[in-house]
Amino acid sequence: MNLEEDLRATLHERAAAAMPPTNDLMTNINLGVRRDVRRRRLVAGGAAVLAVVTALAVPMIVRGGDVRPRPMPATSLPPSPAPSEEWDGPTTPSASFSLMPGWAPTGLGAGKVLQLGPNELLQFERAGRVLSVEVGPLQPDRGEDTEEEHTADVGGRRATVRTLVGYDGAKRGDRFIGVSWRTPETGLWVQVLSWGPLTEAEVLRFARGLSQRDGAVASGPALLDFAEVPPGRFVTQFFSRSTVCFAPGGQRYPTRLPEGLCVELLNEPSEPLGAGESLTVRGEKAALDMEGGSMTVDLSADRHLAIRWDTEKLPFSRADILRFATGITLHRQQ
Amino acid sequence: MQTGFEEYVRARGDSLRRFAFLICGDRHLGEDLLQEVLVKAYRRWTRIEADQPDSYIRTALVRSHVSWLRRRSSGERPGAVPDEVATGDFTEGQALRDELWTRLGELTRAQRAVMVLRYYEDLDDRQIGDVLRCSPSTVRVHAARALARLRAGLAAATSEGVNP
Repeated sequence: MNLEEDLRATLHERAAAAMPPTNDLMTNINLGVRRDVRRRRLVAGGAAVLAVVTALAVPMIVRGGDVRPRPMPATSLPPSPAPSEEWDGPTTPSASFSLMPGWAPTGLGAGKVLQLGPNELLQFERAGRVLSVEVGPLQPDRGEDTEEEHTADVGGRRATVRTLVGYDGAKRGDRFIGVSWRTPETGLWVQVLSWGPLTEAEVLRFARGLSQRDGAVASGPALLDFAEVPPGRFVTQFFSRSTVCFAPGGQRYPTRLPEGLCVELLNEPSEPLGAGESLTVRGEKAALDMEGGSMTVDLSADRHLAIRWDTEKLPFSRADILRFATGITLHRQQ
Repeated sequence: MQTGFEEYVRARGDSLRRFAFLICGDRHLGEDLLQEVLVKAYRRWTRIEADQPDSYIRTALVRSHVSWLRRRSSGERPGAVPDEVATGDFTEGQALRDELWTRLGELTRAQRAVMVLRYYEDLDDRQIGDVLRCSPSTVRVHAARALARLRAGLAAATSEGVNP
């Protein structure tokens, strides 16, 4: 046999080998579903959830008659960075949310701000209760599939209200409520989602109290400082305090997902150290996979940096990545 | 839990476990991966069920495994340690397949996925590209590099066997 036939035989032989019975697959999935529900409520805006992404060319935001320029998502991917020797930086990315809540239920604590591509998300979470609001040109993730749907007035706009009682992980009296509308003048989506005991009236009160104010809520700095960012007019594509992605060409990708040149601070490595080329970055153990577009750096105290980039869209050299990685440090206040 | 979902898992679970095992090269990692993918599939099940669940789940398994975003609590490198150690007398062909299985563990995740999709699932390069979200030409590059690495590994093993 030749290699390909041997491969075929090997794979089928291994797959056909007796698999020990597992009676707990469904049990584990049930448990996983419970955990997933809780996690999704923690990231209600869908930062880690695949979203239905609609690229909309919306250059302006209009709210209350106020016309403001707003970065628009690219209808096609930005070009690859042009060759240049000029690196930008230093920078400590942050994000802001441009709607100010006029009223919020008590007991939700301080909000977290995330940037999801061209969209902005403000999220409150405490003790399993989640209230989030997202605004932007891309249609947000719907949160839950619901059966009941009706309309309501939010500041003179017709909003869709979706409700679900008894979502997975709900406690007695909990319900999911989603309120969404689209500003007709601009096409911007606004969506408020709630998991927990809030009533529809309370969620609508929160939605109606939102008012435009650029930079109304600030995120605080990322957990990472970047001494240098590669040439190519990179802008922040995705922001949470522990994850930052940069997109080239001065414009964000038309997606809410973390794409581009991404750096994430983890408590465990995303790829096992030892995969790819082993090296050190400022004395820390690291593994670099140029072909796969990933690098991990093993920091002290169970912290790891995961760097990822799309090798086709962002053809960085090995020297570029090493220079970029060398300039990443934990934010001084951490 | 939705009845249709549970019936699907009970009916197709073993087949999917085998596929996940081949993709990961490690039974436990494969089962972790499968559980993770099925948990995510559960909340979209109504839509998935109406289409082609097997195709959807297999694609999700490959993408999740190849994706850097996949978290793993284990520091194991998939396939670095053979999942099963063959015992007893075995033929030269069996020895070759054991060696090949070990060498598969030295490929990158994308390369390994291409090998499994091409030689286990019998997908063509376009179909594999759809799964991996890359072009057929990129699939061919992955395949060529994987086969070259496997050939080199087997040659080295043979050489070591001849000249210990």
